[in-house]
Amino acid sequence: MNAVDLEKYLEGIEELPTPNFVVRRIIQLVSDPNTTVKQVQDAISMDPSMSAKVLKLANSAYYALPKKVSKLSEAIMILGFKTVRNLAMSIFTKESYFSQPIPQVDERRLWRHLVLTAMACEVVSEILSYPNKEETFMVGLLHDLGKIVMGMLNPILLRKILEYARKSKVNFYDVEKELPIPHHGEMAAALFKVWGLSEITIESARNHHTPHRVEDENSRDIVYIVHVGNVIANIVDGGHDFNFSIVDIDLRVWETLNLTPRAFKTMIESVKNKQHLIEEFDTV
Amino acid sequence: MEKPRTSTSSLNRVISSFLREMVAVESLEDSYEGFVRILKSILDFNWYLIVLENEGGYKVVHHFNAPDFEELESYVFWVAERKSVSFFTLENEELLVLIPFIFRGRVLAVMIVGANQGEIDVELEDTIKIFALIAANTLANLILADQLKERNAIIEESRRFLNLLLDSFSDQIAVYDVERDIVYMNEAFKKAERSEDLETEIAGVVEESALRKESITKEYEASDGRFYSIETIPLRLEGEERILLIVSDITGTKELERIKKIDRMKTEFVANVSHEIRTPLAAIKAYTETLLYSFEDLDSETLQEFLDTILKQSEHLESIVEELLDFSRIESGTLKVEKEKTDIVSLTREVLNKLQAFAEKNGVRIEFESEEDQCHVEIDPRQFRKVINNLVSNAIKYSDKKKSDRWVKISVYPRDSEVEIIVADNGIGIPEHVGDRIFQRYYRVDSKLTYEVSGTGLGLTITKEIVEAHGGQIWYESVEKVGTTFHVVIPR
Repeated sequence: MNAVDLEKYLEGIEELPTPNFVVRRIIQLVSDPNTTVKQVQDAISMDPSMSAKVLKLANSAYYALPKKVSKLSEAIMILGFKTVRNLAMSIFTKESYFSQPIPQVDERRLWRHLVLTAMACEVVSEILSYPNKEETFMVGLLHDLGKIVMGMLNPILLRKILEYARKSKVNFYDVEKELPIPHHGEMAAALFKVWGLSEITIESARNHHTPHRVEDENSRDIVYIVHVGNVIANIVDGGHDFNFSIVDIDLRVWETLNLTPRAFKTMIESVKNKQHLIEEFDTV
Repeated sequence: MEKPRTSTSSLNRVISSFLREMVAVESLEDSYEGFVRILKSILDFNWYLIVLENEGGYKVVHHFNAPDFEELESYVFWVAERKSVSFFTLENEELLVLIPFIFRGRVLAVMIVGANQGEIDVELEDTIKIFALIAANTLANLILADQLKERNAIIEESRRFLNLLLDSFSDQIAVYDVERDIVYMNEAFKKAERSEDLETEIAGVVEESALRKESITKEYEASDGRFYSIETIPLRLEGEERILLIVSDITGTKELERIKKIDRMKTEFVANVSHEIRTPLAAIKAYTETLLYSFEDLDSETLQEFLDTILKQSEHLESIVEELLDFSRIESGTLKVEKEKTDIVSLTREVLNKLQAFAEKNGVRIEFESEEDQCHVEIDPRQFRKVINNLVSNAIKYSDKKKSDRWVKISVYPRDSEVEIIVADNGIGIPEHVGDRIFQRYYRVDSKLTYEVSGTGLGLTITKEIVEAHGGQIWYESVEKVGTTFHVVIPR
């Protein structure tokens, strides 16, 4: 792909759906320490459909609250600011990127993979005592969005890669990296830049297959966790992310995170136990 | 999305109060009060409750003014599943804050407080999350410390038991490190008095075992007259090379072995002596019977010959009995030496004259030389005669039949303070392995020879005893098939 094509590609990215005002406002509010519950509640309330969906998710089996929640303020307090932001983000992503069918591509399966990876990232964070597990949930949820972006911008290319990967029994990324085009991680990174998401989110999307390329200390842990989350999601419920071979864990990630076979097994078992809750995110 | 802003002031507050509070904490119980004080610095609350995970359930370990745990139980189980800090508004407008302490994915404890606060912000949520994280780590370390203490107590107990066991052994047990320093010794090793040469021997065995990385078992007779078994085993303990040493006093076992051997030798001796006595006795009996029944038929020449034989055999018998008596005196320690001024040159000549016939019969030439014609020494002539007699008759008895020229040379060398008598022969010699055992009671070199050569096996034992009773020394040099030289030195 030459420079002109690449530019055209990026132009295309700018035309894809971006988070609306309400979602952007929530993201901004949650990153400010002084934001109160009331402010977030006011922001969500501006979008009645979003309000309903947030409440529905909060009352879903995934969170299994000890009592039913009917007010947004309660949902925010119980689940926490960042979780509510994640819900808003999930709702936006599902509505904007997974509602239009892409020919010959089962985008619903990719959505399952994204939700499972997000859950896996939370489990990995808990077991590694990583403090920002809500952050890893969001990054996990968005990490493979580049595949959908490719499908929206160049469905033929996506299909070709898929066919080749299926036939040769290799992974999606194995095919991509041989081609002279930006891979799905880079596409997602370009998209998130347009959205104005944090550098950590952009890095995680770009390097979840190549964690060793991350040099920034701040993003390293979270990229590594997303890498592990993706591997675990593939072990528990593989194939939804257009991979046709085993997804390997990077040795450096294993060593840096001080993973042990026992801890890794615990992670896989915890994610398996949550697997049935994926559908709760389909309803939004 | 903007870069998340962390509120450094409240974070700092949490971390610095943690440092302050936790320095003094030594046990799990101490920590709860600390957690409460730290949380007070970021949140205003009326009551609190801390529950600890306990076999799938939770038990209250610390509380103040709190409602019954049953009322809060469902919240606790929920937050343990959710694994995240949560806030609930209660009906009385109170804010219920649920703080799970999670370490490596496991909920160790849950802290529940009832706060006055109506409104919460992102900063408060973040700060409490950080608090929960540090608290969980602290708690995990304290639980680990408690478990370690328990485990140490168990280890200490089994160590005591093992020590008790090792100390009850009479064997001396020690462990050496690579520097050959002793890192462990049992009670027997501590108490034992080891002679210097035993210590040296042990050090040598330990060194050798360490260098060769092999077990060594060795028996050692120490200068204190006791026998020891020294056993070393190379070990790897705590990743370091060690040598285990076991020293056992096996004198009892050795003594038993010795007694058994003597017993065996005594039995052989009795059989041997009986045979020795029977031979002359049978001769005497036969000749006497012939004399009794055929006295008239014998001419005077034959008679003379018969009586000579009877006398000779009687003398032989007498010498055997004499030897046995001497031996029993030695055994009972009543061997008496009555010294008188004696010319050892003429005493030797006298003995040699008597042995001349025996020598001729065996084809052995006797040579005698003395630097002086006379040499007076304070000795017991009766006993000392036996010394010369034994040495020379042994030389004749064990002459080498394969040699055409057979000889025994006796030399007397008088010196200022002593006299040396040398008895040299070109006989069959004494095998090297025999050594000083030749002087041992009952000892005879080769059982095959015992049939060919007569003797009680006491001769050299008696000889040695007599020489030593005179304050002298006896030793020999020998080469098999070449000959033997005995030296006797007695003070003048």
